[in-house]
Amino acid sequence: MDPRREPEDHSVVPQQSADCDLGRLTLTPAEAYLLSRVDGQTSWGLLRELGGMSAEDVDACLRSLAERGIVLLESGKADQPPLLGVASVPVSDGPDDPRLDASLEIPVEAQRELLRFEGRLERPYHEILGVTPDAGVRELRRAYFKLSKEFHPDRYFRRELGPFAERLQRVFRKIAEAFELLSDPAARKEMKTSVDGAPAAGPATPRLRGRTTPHAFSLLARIGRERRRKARQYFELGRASIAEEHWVEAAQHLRLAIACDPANQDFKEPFADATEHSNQILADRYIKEADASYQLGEYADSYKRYVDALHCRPFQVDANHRAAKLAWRVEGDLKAAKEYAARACEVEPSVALHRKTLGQIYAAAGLYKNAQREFEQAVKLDPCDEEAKLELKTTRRMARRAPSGGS
Amino acid sequence: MGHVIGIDLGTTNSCVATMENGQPTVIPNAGGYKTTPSMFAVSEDGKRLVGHMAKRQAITNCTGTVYGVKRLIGRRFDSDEVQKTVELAPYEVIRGSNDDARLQLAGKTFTCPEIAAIILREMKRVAQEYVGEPVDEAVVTVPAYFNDAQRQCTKDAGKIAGLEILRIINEPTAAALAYGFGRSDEETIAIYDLGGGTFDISILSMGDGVVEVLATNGNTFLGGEDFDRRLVDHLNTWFVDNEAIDLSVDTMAMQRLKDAAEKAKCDLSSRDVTEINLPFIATDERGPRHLNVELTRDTLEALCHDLVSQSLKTCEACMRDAKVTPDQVDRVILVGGQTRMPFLQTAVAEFFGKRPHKGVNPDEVVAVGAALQGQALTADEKDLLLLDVTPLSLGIATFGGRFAALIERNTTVPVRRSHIFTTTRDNQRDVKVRVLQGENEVAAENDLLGEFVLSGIKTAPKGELEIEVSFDIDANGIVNVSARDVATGLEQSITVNAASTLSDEEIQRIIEENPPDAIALKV
Repeated sequence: MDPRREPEDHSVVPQQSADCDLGRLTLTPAEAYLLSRVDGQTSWGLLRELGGMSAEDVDACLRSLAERGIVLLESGKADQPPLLGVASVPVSDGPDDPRLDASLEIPVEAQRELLRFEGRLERPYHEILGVTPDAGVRELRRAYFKLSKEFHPDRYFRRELGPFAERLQRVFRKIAEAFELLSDPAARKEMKTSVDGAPAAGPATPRLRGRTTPHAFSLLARIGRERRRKARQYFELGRASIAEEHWVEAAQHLRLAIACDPANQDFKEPFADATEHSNQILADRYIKEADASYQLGEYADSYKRYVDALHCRPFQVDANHRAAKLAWRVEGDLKAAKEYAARACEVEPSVALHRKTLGQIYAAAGLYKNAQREFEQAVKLDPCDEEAKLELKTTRRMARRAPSGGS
Repeated sequence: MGHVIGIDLGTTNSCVATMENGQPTVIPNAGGYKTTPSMFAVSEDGKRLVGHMAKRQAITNCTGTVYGVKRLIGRRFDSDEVQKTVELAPYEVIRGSNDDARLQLAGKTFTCPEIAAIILREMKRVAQEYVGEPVDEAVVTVPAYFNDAQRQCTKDAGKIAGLEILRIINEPTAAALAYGFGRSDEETIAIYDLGGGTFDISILSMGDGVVEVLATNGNTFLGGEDFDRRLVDHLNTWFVDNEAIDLSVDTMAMQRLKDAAEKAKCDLSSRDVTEINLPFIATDERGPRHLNVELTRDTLEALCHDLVSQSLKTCEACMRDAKVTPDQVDRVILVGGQTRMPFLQTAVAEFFGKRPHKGVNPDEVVAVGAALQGQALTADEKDLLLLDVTPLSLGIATFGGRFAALIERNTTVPVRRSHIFTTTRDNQRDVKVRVLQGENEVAAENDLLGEFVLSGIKTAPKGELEIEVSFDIDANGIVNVSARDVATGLEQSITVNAASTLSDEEIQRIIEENPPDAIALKV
C-alpha cells in the first residue's frame, strides 16, 4: 500500500522522542500499538516480526511516527544509554515550541531544559541522573546534587512559573526518586534482577519479587498501579472497539490489557471473543491478499500471507494446502510444507488432491513409504487421477529400493 | 530586595541573624546580647515585658511571667507535655476552646501562638533597629520533631507578628547550613542539638553547596531544662533532708532554685565545683532559712548521665534511618547551650569516635542557618540549596485502627506517593480518609491532621473496589491528600491545613488587639 522508497535499514533501533507528550497525540490504534512496542531496545527488523501487525504496516506506521517526530530513527546504539548533557537524544524543541513562554519568571533556556528533561522521565533511573548503570553512591550523590541545584523548586522560590511550576515539581520528584532507589543497594539489586540489568524508571519494569522494605514496597506498588491503570485504559479502548465491531483493534487493545494486568479475570472473556472475531477477519483479509499475490505470480509474498492467515485460522483447509505447495515449491521448506499438507488432510481426510500433495512432499523429502501411503489414499479417493497413479508407481519402486525410509 | 532575617525561636533563648554583604551576621539586641530570653511577662501594673526585661523580674512576678511556651505550642491540653508544664510552671495554663493550651496572665488569656508572636516581634524589632529599615520576611526554625500542628502554630505566630514566614526549617538543618556555608567538601555530618527544651539529631550529607538531610530524629521531652530540673530536685531534696522544708510548694522559691541550678550547671562546664547560695529561701518557726551548698561536677554528671545516654539512643536510631555508621560520619557538630557540658562532649566523642567540631557557636549557629536559607530562597544567585525531608511519617488510618504510612519519615520533599486501598464492607458507599502523622502502628496514637469522606463510590463486594490515595508534599511542606475511586474516577481531596489551634478570624482578631507598636519595649 505504500510506494517503496529508498531501502530502509531495519537494524535501526527506533526510539521514542524525548519530547513527545503521549497524552496529546492523535494516533491510529495501529500506531499506538506500535509505539507501545518502541522501547529504545528493539530494532525495526524485530518490530516487523513481533506479530499483531504486518511488516508493511509496521513500516508504514514507523515512517508516519518518524515524520511527525514522535519516533526517532537515527541509528543510535541501544546498548549505550545516552548520558545527560551529551544530548545525544535529538529533541524537537525548536525556538517555536508553543510551550515556551518568555513572560514567565524562568529563563526560556531553563524552560527548554526542563521540557527536555521532562521528556526523559520514563527513562531508566541511571539515565535520569546521567550516570552509568554501575555508578557508586558518591557519583550518584554528586549527580543528584548537581541536578537538584538546577531543578529543585526552591531555585525559583516565589517566582511566577505558570505551568512550569508543576513541571519542576514533577522533574525534581523523579530525580529524588531515582537517587533514593539507586543509592539503596537492596532496591537496586531488585531492579537489576527484574529487568535483566537495565534498571528502568517506569512501568517498563515487569515485576519485582516480594520484599518488605518500604522502598521496594512502594516501588512495587507504584509499578503495579501504573500497569493496572494502563490495563484499564486498554480495556476501555478495547470495549469501545468491540462496541463499534472493530474486532482487530479490540483484540489488540485487550491483549495489551491482559499483558499489563494478567490477573484480571474481567479481561479474559471479551479478549477470547474479540480474538475469535479478529482472527476471522484477519484470516479472510490475508487469504484474499495471498490469493491476489498468487494470481500475480508473487509466490513469496503469497506464501507469507498464507502463513499469516494460518496464524489466525490454523485449520483453514485451502490455505493450508496452498501454503504447503508454496513452502515446498517456492521456499523449499519441506518440513513446513509437510506440516501444512498434513494438517489439510487431517481436517478434511477425504480430499484426494491434498493427499496427493502430501505424498509429493514426502517423496521430495525421500520418505517414500509415507509418500506411497498417501498416494494409495489419493488413488482410492479419486481413481481417475492418472498423475497420482503414476506417482504411486514411482514411489513404490523407490520405497523398495530404500527400505529404511520410515516416517 | 529587603532584608530577610533568620530567627531561632528557642525554648529558653531566641536569636536573630541576617545577611550582610554576603556574610551571615548575628544581630545583638540593644543590651548587646546576641540571644534574647524567650520570655514574656505582664507586670502587676499591666505593663508588658519581653526578653531580658521579662527575665529580670521573673522571680518577683513568677505567676505573670511565661517561659518555655515552645513546649506548649500546637499541643493539646491533655498531652503529657502540657500536663507536665501545668504541674511545674509557676504560671497558669488553662484549657483553650480548641482543647489547646492557653496561658492566664494578669487576668487575660493568651494563646501560645500569641506569646510566640510577641517573641518573634521582639526579634523582628531587634533586627529592624540594626538594619535601619522595616523587616517583614523571615525563616524560622523549629525542632526537627515538631509535627504539623506545631509548625502551623509557629507560622500563625509569624503572621501575628507581622512577619511573612518564607519557610519553617528544622534547627539541626539550619545548623548544617551554617556549617556548610562556604565549604565545598563532600562530607557526612552529624548535628547533635541539645537545646533548652528539645533534643534533635540529624545526619546530613553535603557538597557543592547542597545540603541533603539523610535522617532526622529527636526527643521533645529531652533538653537542657531537664538537666536543670534534676538539679532543682536534687537541691530540694537536700533542703528537705537538712532543713525539713519542701520548697516545691513555693513557686517563688522554685524559681530561685531554678535560676541557681541553671547558673551552677553552666559554672560546672568550666569548673569542678561551684557553690549555690540562696539566702532567705524559706522561713519557719526557727526564722529565715538559707540554702548554701557546694555542688561538684561529679554530682551533676551522676544526676544527669542517663539523659545523655537517652540522647545517644536517639542518635543510634537516626543513624539506622540514615544508613550511616558512626565511623562514616566525617564531622560532628554540637548545637545548643547544653552541649557545653564536658561530660556530654566526651560521651558524644566516644559514640562517634571523633572529637566534635568546635568551629561554630552553639547558641547562634541555628539563627545563622535560618538567615542563610532566607538568602538562598530570595537571592537571584542560588549557590546554596537545602534538600529537606519530612520529619514524621504521613499516612492514613486503615481497617482495624492500623496506621498505613504512605510517606515514610525522612523522605526528601517535594514528594508524591500513592497507594491503592480497598473497601472493608460489602456495598460500602463511602470511605472516610483520616490523614495522620506519626510513627506508631496504631492509628489513634498518631496526630490527626485532617479527614474527609469520599462518598458515592460504586457499590461492590468488599475488597473489590480500588481507592487510590495520594499524598503530595510540596517544597513548602504543604500536604495535599486525595482519594480516587479508580473505576469511576470519582475524587475528593484536601489540603491539610494542620490542626491549627487558631482560625484565620482568631488570628485577625489577635493582630487587631495587638497593634505592632504596643509592646515595643526597650531592653
